[in-house]
Amino acid sequence: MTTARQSDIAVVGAGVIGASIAAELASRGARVTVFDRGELGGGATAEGMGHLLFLADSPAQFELIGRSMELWDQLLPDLPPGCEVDKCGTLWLAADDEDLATAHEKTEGLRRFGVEAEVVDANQLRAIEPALAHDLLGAMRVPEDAVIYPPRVVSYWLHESPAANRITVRAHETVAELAPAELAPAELAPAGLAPPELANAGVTPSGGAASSRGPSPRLRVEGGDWESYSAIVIASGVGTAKLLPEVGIQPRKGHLAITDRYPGFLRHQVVELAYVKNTHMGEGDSVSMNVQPRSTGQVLIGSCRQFAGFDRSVDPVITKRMIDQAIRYIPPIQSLQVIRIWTGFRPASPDDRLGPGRRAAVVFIASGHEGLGITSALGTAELLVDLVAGAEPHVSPALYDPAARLAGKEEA
Amino acid sequence: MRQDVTLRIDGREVTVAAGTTVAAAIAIAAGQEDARETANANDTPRANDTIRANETSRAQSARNGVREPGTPSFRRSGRFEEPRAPICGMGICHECRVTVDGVPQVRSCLTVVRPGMVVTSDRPVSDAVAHVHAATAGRPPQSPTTEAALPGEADVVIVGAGPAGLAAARVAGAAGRDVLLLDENVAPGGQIWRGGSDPRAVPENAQFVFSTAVVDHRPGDRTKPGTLVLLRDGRFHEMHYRDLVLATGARELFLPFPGWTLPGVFGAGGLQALVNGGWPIEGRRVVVAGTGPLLLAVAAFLRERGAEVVLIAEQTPARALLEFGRGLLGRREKWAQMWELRTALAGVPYRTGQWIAQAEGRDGVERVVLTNGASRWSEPCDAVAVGYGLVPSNELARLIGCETDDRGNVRVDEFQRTDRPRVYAIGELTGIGGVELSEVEGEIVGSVLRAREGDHHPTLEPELVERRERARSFAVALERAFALRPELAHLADDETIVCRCEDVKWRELSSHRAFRDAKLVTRCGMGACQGRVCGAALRELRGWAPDTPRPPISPVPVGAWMD
Repeated sequence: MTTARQSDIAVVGAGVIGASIAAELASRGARVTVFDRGELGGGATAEGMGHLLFLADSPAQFELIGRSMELWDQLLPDLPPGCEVDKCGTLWLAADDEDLATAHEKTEGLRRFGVEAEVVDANQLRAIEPALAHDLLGAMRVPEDAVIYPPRVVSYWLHESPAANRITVRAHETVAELAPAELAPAELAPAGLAPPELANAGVTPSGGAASSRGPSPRLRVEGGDWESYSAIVIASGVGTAKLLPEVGIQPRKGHLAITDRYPGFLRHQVVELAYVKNTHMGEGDSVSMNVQPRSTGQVLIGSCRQFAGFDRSVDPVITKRMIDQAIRYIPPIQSLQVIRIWTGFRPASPDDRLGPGRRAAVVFIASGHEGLGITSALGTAELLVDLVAGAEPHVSPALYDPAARLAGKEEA
Repeated sequence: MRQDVTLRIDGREVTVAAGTTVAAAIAIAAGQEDARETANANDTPRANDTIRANETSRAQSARNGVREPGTPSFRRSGRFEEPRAPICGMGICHECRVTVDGVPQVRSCLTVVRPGMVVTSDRPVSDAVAHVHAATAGRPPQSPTTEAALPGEADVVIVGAGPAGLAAARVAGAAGRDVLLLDENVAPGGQIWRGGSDPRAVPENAQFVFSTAVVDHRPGDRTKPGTLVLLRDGRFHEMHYRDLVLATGARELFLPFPGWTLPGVFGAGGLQALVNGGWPIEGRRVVVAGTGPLLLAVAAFLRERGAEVVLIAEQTPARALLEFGRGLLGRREKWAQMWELRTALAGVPYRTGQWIAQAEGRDGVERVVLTNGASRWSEPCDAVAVGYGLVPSNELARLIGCETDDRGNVRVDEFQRTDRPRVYAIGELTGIGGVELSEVEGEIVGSVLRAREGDHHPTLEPELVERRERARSFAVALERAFALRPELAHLADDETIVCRCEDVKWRELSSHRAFRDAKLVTRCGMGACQGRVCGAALRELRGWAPDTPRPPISPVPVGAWMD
């Protein structure tokens, strides 16, 4: 038996990606049902650091991130206090001459896109961030970067955002499968294939529209019947591997440690400039210093990357490497008490590119954001809903579309 | 023989007895300051007032509108900046955190005074942070331990040197096993005996390692045993074990009620522990409330130390108590204990069917509102000791992966074995049952460990089994008699703080249905105590299972990771 729910769009995954998509769909008039196998925002959204970072390592990267940061900037003032918004800015720390050259390069790169950024020298650095090691050569300062507490933002989107009354939340319900017929990769469709009503400025798509494109996509919750929707969005992070194994999303494990409250200990988020080269050096374990002051006064210590399947255990070796690196850059941190260490899984796509896009005619995917899910959530949501609605997207979908990339890989 | 130690607390020199905890020293210093203020207000120079003199000045201070000598604020809460003071006395609640020698967020209940120590309390932690920046070089100061280096492995490791752990060490040690007994505290005896009237010696054939916390555990496999990660003097130490006995005991259950976050509201066992650490109680008016025989023991102890016990409020109705008493008829020793307590408490009102509905005061508790369900009345006091029973301290057991029941008790078989290989659990950790049950469980584990390697069904001496049965049946009767009345689940109102670390109110939790769900959205349980206080309360009040424990089991300075 199939339950008719054809006026709804289903979003699988209530993390920061799924919840932002749900809020965006709802704000454009759609009725949305959001599924999650656990608590809202309880996966990578809760496990990660929660930073909003300007990055411009390539035009493609900046197109989505820049747009996303613009949207975050509009949203931040509306968020409730529990979202712990702190526009602390980021200091990208230079430990050697190579790093310093990178700082200049990156500063130029960001400025070219109109993002405020500057290089501060060693003396300025000590003045604005006294906890840092005295042998650092300088830093790139990006004042508009922020940190937030993403699980609370998820709860805002799903329960309190302006159109939240059009969102139905089904937490602790695992989507076990999608109707196989819908999963044949669609020809990359022109915008017209999307439900026309939605395209016409935010009206909920009707069952009629769906039927004009053949049968509606269906999903089945564990222990439940098939349910039919006018469109399905897969935003289940590392869980995507189960529903759409061919997309190749893999869990990339991280460790984090958080301290007791030390308000004022650190003023900026600090990241080592070697971060980018450390982070994506292939399959091996990597450690990159990234330490945040939280609005609670706590200090959040990261970061590291490992491919280790879904093993949740805390690895003492990489934990030590990660904390050693924090001490190297922030020596006084050694007096602070760590109250909790945990691990989490970033959804990594095979080519390290973000993945909002169309998977089939009316099945969409937004997964594979790795460590940038929070930063790129709003841009992803806008782009994906543009795709669903057949609207003209702000950013070019082909850059990110996993279907296009899959097709490219098959050809190669 | 008694030595004095002089230290600086909030800019003033204070001299206290050696062995005093920093928490107690802060309370002593505040009492002296109050006395000075009072004396100044009365125009009588009495700079060297003792606490006793302070007591006589209380009536005057009340007349003159001078602040009553109450419990000082140790710290300000994270969100509302409320004044806070310790409630547990044993390092659980984290409300005793102050800055010691420039290191912020040090638990003063667990730290013993040293000459020249500099302590600041009730200041924004950010004040101390500047100091931390200045002191970049060097490791955070740690209280030195005098013992020799720790071994990297031990045959039998027992975690917790209370009645259960000590009994296990005695029996296993006598049988020739190489026993190492670990405890976070400086002295053996557990919460029940530590510093009290009945300290038990560590058996000669066991090595006692004090001031050492177990912060993590790494599982073993078929070829190698498991490993404990210890923290001692601010350094990690790994210790492999062949057999591991968990005897981590219990802590108090704290149930939130309006005003329970005021300085001066303590756990019953918490106040006892604090007083054992030198906390000044002489001349203070104390209301003891809650449930169970522990209230009488605490009241008698406080009275012996000079407190004025105003009354004991037992939530259990008289009828249930009478029934319980009848059940004890055949137990001479229990009657003897009761009689002794009753004598010690002659003249102290013992009221049944009453409980505390609220604590009131400006910067600390000044009075409590009592109720019997029908009416409410208030009782002036300087301190409140509330004991609603105990809950197992099971974090290490859960981190190891031992199965627990729906009350958090570690499940064991007749040989005290958990479902993890080579891991045993004894004492309050397996169910709250008191000293006798803890001791016999320790003896049983000791005899199981004595048995031949590979003997999966060692013979237990019938005498031990019989004693365990007897102690268990007493524990069951006790639990039935002193079961918490349903009204206690409704003491908190919307504005009552449930999670003290993160200042999360009852109202904020009302829409949530599980602990993890509430935690993600409200931060409940995310603070320094890692949900130990609110987690136990919410299990009791809402039936929520606590979240998965995460390492470290207790806070670890970042510097511990350095080579």
